[in-house]
Amino acid sequence: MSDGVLKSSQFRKEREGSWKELQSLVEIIEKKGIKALSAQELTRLPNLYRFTLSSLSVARGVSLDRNLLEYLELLSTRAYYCIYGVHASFGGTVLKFFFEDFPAAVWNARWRVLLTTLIMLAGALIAYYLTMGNEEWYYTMVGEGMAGGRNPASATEDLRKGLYDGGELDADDLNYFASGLFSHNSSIGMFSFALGFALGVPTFILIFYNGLILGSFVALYASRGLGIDIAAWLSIHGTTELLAIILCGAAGLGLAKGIISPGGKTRLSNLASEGKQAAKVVIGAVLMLLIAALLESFGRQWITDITARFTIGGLMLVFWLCYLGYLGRKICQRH
Amino acid sequence: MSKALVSPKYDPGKKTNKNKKTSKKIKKTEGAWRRVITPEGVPVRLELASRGDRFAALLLDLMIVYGLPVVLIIAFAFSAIWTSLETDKGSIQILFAISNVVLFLWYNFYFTFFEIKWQGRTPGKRALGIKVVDRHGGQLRSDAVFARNLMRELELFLPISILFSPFGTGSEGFTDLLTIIWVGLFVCIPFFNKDRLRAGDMIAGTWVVKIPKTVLMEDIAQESSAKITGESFIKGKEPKQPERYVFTDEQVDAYGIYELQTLEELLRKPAVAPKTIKEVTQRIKTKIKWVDINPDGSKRPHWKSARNQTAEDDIFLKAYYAALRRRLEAKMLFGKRRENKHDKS
Repeated sequence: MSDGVLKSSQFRKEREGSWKELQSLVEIIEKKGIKALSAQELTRLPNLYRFTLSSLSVARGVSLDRNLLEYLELLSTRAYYCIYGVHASFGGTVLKFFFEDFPAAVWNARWRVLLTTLIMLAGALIAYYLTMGNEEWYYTMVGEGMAGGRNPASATEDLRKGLYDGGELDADDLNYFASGLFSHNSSIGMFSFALGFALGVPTFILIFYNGLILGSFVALYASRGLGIDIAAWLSIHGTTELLAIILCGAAGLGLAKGIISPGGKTRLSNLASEGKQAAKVVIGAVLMLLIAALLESFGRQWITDITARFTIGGLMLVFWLCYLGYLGRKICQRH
Repeated sequence: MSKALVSPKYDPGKKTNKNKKTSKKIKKTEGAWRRVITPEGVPVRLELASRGDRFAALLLDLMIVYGLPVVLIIAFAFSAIWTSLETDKGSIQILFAISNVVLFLWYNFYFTFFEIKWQGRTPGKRALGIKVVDRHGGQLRSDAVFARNLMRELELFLPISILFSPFGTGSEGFTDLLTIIWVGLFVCIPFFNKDRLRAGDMIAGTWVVKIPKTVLMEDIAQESSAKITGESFIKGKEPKQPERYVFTDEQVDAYGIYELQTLEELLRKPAVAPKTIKEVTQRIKTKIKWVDINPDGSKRPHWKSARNQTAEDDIFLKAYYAALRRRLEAKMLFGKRRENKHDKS
């Protein structure tokens, strides 16, 4: 029994080279990324990784050298981090996102989208009837900053001018206007998603409040006989913008559902899977808001014809419904 | 060093104190170790990043997120392009519009971009040697990265904007206070769960881990056998030369795996006080009833100088380590793991 070297030492001697090779590859990846490896090294990597993992399994059975066991275990962990990190390229992820992930995620959340729409509509209707009955309500629902001088005290002519104004603005001003709108709206959208973490109650309130503002805004114009005009003014960008806000709200409610009713899984793991789906919806919605901001600043200020405004708004709505509804459903069925 | 080999009688006050401290430390760090099963089915250990490391990484990232645009804008304001544009109102506005969108993307997608590009590491995380990985051992996907960083809106950017906004008075102050408490709850989530998850980690199914350092040290058993056979006893194979230290079966049955690995720890330490080595050697010799006599009956020389004695003790310990490990590993191959010296199997 006492002749020669230990079996575990022999075991180590035979494999040490491969472990060291894996370690050097892992160090390169950690420093410079996986692209720094040559084609040959790249094909070696998974083999070395599996070899080290199997060495670890064997070593646990034959060796009592603690440093060796620890080394193998941590080296495996470290290599595992490199091999199971993010591997998608940024561009590839983006393409797949547009043609598959986003529509599918929205279609999966369709009932939540419907619910959010109903909440917003409810807010809008309530505010509409209240403001129609008593214009004082307008001040309660629409804050000073939001109203931007458009309130019941302003003359009808001023209000009308506000809707068709902007034809003489040049493109430079509008650029700036668009980018400001975009970052403002997107922050609100992302925020209403994040708020879903607090069981969805704040999301619910935020969406309802947006509905209130919308309703009393429309009511103000409608009471002056500008109903069709405000509808056209809103529709050109609103079909895109409101839909995006609704999607963000629906994503927030998805988070809330993940916490409240986890189904068969644990709360935490269910939250994790719901969260990833909801995040896709929000990213898509942010891009929709970018389009909406462009429509709002250029389209709305330049196109002052009511039918043209309705046509563009309507076409956008049809486009979104086809893209999210039809394409999303098809992808979901395929899977 | 453990109580198993070093007697508490030795330098009592200092020693026991040290023991307590190290054992506490080990307990603390062990709280951060988690077991994950790789897709290949092999369980591996990983260490969660400490909250301090994560906070430092975040501070670094925030410095980059907010500092870099400021530096760039100042640099641009003093550059030649700016002076040539100053008179042209139209292009200035286009410039503002573009920078507005770029800044929005920078502030909101800085973390996401780097975590996808650098495999779960932002510049701050990279500097601190930590990274984001999937909690269930699978691949970290880009949707998870998006999800965990969208949550920062609530966990990070909202608290920051609250901190820097003026505090209201009266009822407004009261609502501000409520908002701060409410938001504070989200910020504190990592302190209230044992996996140190923040809200973003929860919805994305991720956690933040430390990238381990891997150092493979020399094999003590191999080293010692090479040294012993190399020193004075290589003279053909037959008749087999007796090794300098030969242990009987009872002698190597005195200890178990726990003691073996404690001895390994002692032998691997870069600098150990000669006193400790002497103490440990004495204890082992007493336990296994070792007699300092060569196999041929001659008395072993007693080293006068302390340094020689320490070197001699070191050789003895290494030889005993090799013998003990051989014995225990052989037993393990037959399915018997002797965990420690009290284990009778």
